[in-house]
Amino acid sequence: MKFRGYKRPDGKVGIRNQVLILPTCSCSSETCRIVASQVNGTVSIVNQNGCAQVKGDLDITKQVLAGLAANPNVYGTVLIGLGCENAQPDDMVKLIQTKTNKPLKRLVIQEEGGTIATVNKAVQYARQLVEDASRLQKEEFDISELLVGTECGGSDPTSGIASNPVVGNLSDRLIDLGATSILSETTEFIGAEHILAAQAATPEIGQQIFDIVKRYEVHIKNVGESLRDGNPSPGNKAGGITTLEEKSLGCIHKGGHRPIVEVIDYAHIPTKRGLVIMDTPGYDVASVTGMAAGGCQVVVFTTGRGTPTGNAITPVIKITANQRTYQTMLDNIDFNASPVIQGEKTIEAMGAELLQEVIDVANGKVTKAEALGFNETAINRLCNYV
Amino acid sequence: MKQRINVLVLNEKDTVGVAMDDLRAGDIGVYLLAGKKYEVNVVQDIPIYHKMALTAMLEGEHAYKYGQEIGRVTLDITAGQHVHSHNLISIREGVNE
Repeated sequence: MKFRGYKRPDGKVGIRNQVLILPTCSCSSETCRIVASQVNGTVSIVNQNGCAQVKGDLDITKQVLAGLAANPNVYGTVLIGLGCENAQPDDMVKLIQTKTNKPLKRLVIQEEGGTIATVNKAVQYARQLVEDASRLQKEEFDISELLVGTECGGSDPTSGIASNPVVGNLSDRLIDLGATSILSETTEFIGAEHILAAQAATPEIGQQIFDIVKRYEVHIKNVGESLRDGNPSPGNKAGGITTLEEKSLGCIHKGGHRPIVEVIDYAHIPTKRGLVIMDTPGYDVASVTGMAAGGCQVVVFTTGRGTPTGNAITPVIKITANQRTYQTMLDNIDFNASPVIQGEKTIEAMGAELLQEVIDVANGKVTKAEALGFNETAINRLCNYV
Repeated sequence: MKQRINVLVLNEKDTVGVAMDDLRAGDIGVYLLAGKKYEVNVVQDIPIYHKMALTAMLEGEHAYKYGQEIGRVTLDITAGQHVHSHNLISIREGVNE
């Protein structure tokens, strides 16, 4: 199977052709917003982090920012820093350059003489990058170039029964065609990690799966909190999910049935093709952000209650198997998997349809979240700001 | 009379099924397992996609869905009852506390 995409100088293939206006920290986020509002073809994100963070947290933030710049859907990046932040602009440039050789411009507000001077220069850089990006022609590529993230949010029991298994079937199909699928949300492996470990390609990978779950549980316990207080959410419970184990057993269906070939840290780029686990939180927006930073060109996102989540650079395809939700949240849902629940179509048949939807979106079909211009961003964290 | 299937059971080990319709006390819950049809008298209202007990379960026992343990029963349950937060709790986090 083929799709039409954009060849990048680092060898990767994008399905969108965005210019990213990237803030190193919270203090340059508003400046980036102004720049992005001035130049069509650019996107910016709100970065809540990048300063006043302990080393572990700063490392996570920097990986995410550099990963977003390296994402194949991005043509090039205008990086804007403040100057005094923890995520130093020069360090960010170096980190981005370890991941990609795509066009990159750097501006520092305290060097330029303030916001307006920075905006002035940044708009000129951004306009030139957009013009350069617009000259690029789409070419045909094999589907094996695709890295697809899988996510669930606002789950209800239909997620575990139908939409997650449909995504699992999509995942199997992608992997059989040589592509890569990422299963995420470590907190939602709890109670189901033995099943995933048995699916690991090697005993070492199986142990890594147990280890990331344990690390998460210990982490929450060490700050004196309980996972139960936040997960399952009130909406999950209203929909009929009672316990985290029940939610997890539904969640892991998104991974499908192929061997798990790698476990990677949050926001890191997979080194292998096949089914990969990324250690992300169950918080859907932070998980999608992590997978976008890991290089996913597209994310498939199941929901039972209905959610609007999008991403600045990675199209998010929303799917539900809850017929009522499909009708009441049509503004936000792209794909109706409820025929599985009604017994009208099989999981396999809907998996094939979902694969076609992924190809269509790769070829340029605009998702609901894209049409609405959504760019939710959340970066995972270890502890308090300092 | 032909009864419509209104409960989904995912695995033969399961002790709960999923209501595929809003069920009312007095309805008959009907599910399929390995091609055979089973009936349970619904004893209380169960919202769509919520869980119904397929068998009696005693306090302290584990409930099964997907063929896996999903929680510990905190109040004795009879077949046909609604199974949710009021009578089922996470096993994992209970142990951690």
